[in-house]
Amino acid sequence: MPRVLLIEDDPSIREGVGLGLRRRGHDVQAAETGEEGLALMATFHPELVLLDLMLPGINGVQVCHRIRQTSEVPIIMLTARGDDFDIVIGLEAGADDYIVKPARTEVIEARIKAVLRRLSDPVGTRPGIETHGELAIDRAGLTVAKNGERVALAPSEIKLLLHLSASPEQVFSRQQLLEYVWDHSYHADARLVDACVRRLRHKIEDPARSPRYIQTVRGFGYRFGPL
Amino acid sequence: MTGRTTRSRATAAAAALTGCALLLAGCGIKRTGVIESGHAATVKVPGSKNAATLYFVSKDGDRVVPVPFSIGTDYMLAPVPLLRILLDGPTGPASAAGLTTALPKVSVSDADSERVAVSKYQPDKGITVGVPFPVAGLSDLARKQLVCTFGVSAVRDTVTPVAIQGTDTTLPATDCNPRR
Amino acid sequence: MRRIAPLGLRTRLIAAFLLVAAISAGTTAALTYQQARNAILKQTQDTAVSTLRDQVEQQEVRLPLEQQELQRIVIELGKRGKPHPWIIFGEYGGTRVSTNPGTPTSTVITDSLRDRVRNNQYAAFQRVEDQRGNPWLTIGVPAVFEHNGYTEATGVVFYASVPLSTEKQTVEAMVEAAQQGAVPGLAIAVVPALLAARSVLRPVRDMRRAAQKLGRGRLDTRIEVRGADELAGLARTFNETARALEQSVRELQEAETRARRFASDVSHELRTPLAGMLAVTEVLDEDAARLDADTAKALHLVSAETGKLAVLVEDLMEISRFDARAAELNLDDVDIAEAVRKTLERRHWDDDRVVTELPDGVRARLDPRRFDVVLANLVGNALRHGGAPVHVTVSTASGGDGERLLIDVADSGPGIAPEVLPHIFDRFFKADAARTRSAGSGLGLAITLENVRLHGGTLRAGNRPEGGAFFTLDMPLEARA
Repeated sequence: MPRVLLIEDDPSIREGVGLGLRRRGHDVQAAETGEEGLALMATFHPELVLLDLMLPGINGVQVCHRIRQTSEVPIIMLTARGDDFDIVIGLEAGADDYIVKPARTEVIEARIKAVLRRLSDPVGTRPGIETHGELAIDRAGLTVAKNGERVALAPSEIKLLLHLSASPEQVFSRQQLLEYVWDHSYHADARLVDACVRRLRHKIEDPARSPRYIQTVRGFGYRFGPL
Repeated sequence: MTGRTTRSRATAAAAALTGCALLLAGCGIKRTGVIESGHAATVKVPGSKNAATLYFVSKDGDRVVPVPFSIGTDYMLAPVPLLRILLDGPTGPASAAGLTTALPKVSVSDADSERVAVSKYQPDKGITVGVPFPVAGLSDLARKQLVCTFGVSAVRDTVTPVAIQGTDTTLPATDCNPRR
Repeated sequence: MRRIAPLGLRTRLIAAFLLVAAISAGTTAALTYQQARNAILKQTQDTAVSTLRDQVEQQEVRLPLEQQELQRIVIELGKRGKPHPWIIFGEYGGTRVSTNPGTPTSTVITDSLRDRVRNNQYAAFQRVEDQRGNPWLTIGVPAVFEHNGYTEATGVVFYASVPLSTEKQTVEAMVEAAQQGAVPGLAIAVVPALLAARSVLRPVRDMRRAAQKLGRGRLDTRIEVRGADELAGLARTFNETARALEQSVRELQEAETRARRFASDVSHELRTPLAGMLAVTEVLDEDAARLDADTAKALHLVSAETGKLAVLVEDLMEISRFDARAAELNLDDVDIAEAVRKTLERRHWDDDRVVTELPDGVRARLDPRRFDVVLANLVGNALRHGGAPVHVTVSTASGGDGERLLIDVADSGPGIAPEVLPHIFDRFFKADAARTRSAGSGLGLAITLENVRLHGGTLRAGNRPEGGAFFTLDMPLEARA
């Protein structure tokens, strides 16, 4: 079972969520502050981080930034609905998903599983490395290289790229992408997709030109290419 | 604002307008009643100066009108000739103008001179004229002829009430008023 | 019960002004006219009477008067009519002559004039009209003579009839002049009337604007107080009233804000402990089986109620955000048919309890999460309080401001009681007083309505003629954030 690092300042949530996840077999380490959490990153090597955005000291968004400087570990934010501004900033900082508090343990676990889930290979795709323009995508190894240089992508980013590139030029709505890539229900927050697309474009697109790989189709959603 | 005040105001406005309209409606020249305006016209009557004035009945027979009678300047006609002339009735132009007399046609003889007399003028009583015929049956116009003729001409510079003493009775003194 | 149609203040002011102007102008003109007319007539009359008298006095009247002599005098007098030509009549007893040989007797001289002058030693006149309405001045002058110091009537009376046509023309010209002067006068009076009306109406208009602004919620509206008249007093009163109103409204708003903030703070504070509790409810549920029955029952109760509490707190938070206008639209382009289908699927309503009528290919721009909440609340409400089958009909219409999305949710239940209908969207409103707690939080329809409004739409509730309640959602196909 995965190692989960829980960074949460409120003791009742920390205890409750920790208890619930441990009972479901997760290896949970809890940290009370961002500093403590960052310290545990080095020793605990978590496979997933549950990160509260409202933290004393350095806040969740800063913690998210710090983690993303060294690691592509999946990050799920814990947030309250209505703190909309924080969600957007957290997503921009590199978080892969978010959970609205209060939430039952089964919901939290479902999110964790969804983020950790490997995309099932679409039927008919060949194993091996695909090249799309300057991009080389290794579906088996889950790596992406641009001009031969490996691009470090967060789990949600690589899953989105793989899903889109599997059907080039097919348009996916945000709601569809939320369902396929994030395992969210249909009526989820489209900003998750938009933030992820922005981060992905920042890493693989030429900043001087309009996007080539992840293209916006106004009024519908996104598609990969045409190149 | 209630309906009542609105109505009363409307009434007031209507009244004001009506008044205005009435003022303007009194335009043009309206007929009037008879308005007296100053004295009568005093005309010159030739021969009236110092003459006796006889009164005869007008052509219409509704009044007595004056006819001057003069036989010379500054001559006061005595009562007997005056009565005789009066009783003779209108002659000449007077007759031609349609004047008549209401007095009986009696000739006054000299014998009657005693009877025909004018009493002395007394300012408070006037004069009494004696005539040689009965007076009770005289008409108004006839009495007026006598009263006016003697009242105006018997006494110089004075108009005097006249009582008439006939053979039967004496009529009380009255003033000359030719029109009535 | 007003009988006169209400006129504008301006119209009434101008009308009153003109009325006053008309009355004073009319009165002045009428009085002036009357004076002038009377002066003219008096002048004419006096001149005519004295002229006739003077002319008669120059005549010798030989008494007794014969007809030829009277005729001579009359003709002599007839030549001397000044300033007007006149017709002279002479009467002596029954003898009547005139300057007009055909008619020795005048048609305009009245018997009353004749009686007056024949019986008195006074001249007299009378104004009359002939059959054609022309005015005539008739004068009677009796001739008297002095005899023995005594003024004696000769029995001769002279009459003159003078046509007043010149005077009539003069008088008519005066009336005409008055009329011609009055009309432009009144037209000129309109100018000061307008100015006066303007000066009165400007403060009134200002006040009306201010009152309208006040009515639209601009409670800081004040009027500039000019001068010290009644209108200024009114303006001052208005300002005081507005100030008092602003004060009370501000106090009310502050109280309401405090109350709402309190609700928001309470829910906020409740959320953190609830988050902890909700995370461990499963532990309770799972382990309850191993405990004795009472403990297990108690634990299940705690677990279930914790869940409900979490929903209630979430709904309260949501309402607080609407109240604080902190609710935001996260718009996305969706296929409506798919969105409706997914909402029903997710709540396992995709069986025959819900009958849908969804047109294909209708795309809308809306907040998917809020849309899901709206639809789920409406359908859930219909299933809970109404009855299956629930009909969900989606259609579009083009309104005045772009395409509209219309969603009709109709149930087959008993419908909504008429007394309940006005309160159906109220917070915590319980349609059935006996049922103190419903399955939902009691905020469902209130939140639904707020969500629809956030999209710029409207939500109506009612009863169908054939039975059952309906909710009709009408919102723009393209919502704007």
